[in-house]
Amino acid sequence: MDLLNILQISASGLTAERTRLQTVSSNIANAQTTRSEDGGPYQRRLPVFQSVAVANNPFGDVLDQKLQAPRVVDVVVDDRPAEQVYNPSHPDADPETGMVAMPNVNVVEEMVDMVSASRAYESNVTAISATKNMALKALEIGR
Amino acid sequence: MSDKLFNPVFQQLQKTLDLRLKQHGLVSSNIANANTPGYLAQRVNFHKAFGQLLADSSQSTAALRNSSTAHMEGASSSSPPVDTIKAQAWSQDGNSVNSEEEMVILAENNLLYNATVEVLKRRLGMLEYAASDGGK
Repeated sequence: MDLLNILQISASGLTAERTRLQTVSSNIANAQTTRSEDGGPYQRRLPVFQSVAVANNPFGDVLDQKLQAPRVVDVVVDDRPAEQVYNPSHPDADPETGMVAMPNVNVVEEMVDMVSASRAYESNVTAISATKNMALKALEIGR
Repeated sequence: MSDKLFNPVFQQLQKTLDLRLKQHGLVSSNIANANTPGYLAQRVNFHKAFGQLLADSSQSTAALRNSSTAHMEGASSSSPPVDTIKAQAWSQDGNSVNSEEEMVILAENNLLYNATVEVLKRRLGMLEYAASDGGK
């Protein structure tokens, strides 16, 4: 294990959290979109994280194999049913019932996710600057 | 002779720095995986690790040796004890990372790493002072 390896782990943490922020902004931006490429209203997107062992040299000690970095393995569609809103004047309203299928996006939920993702991003940044400090301090040995 | 000059303290300080670095790696990994479902937080158990360190240094003559020069050098004879933190019952995704705790450990570990480097610097400074005939 070296400091560069640790920096790489934090970097993949940053990437994962940024992907989460991207899906959140996509969800918020499309909270009122009633038409999508697959037909029907926009459906909420969710990133899937998976922890993978950091590739390492086989001669490193056992602890090196325990280090795990997050990866975004997939972005899945939330299959909760679309929200039905009564709005007969809407062009996509059902002509008989007057109900419009709106995206299954809950803006409050997205805001909570956004704050959580940006805090997690910040903690990864803090970890990176701590790593940097340690590397700089180690250079002072014997000076 | 060099045993007296570079007494076990140097070796212990070096091992301590190594442990702190490993702890830093684990904590960074925990922070990076704070939102990964099913990920379990890990950290070095310093209580056990220092016990191991002191036990090792008190019987340093019994250290592992290679019986042939063709044998590869091991990275380290003993890997430090690592604790895996269990997920709390209320954790919905089976993740056991507590962000606040990890940030505190990160800061604490960083501080102690710097402190250890400082001690090492002072020790080397003392040697330098002695070697330069008391600063003359």
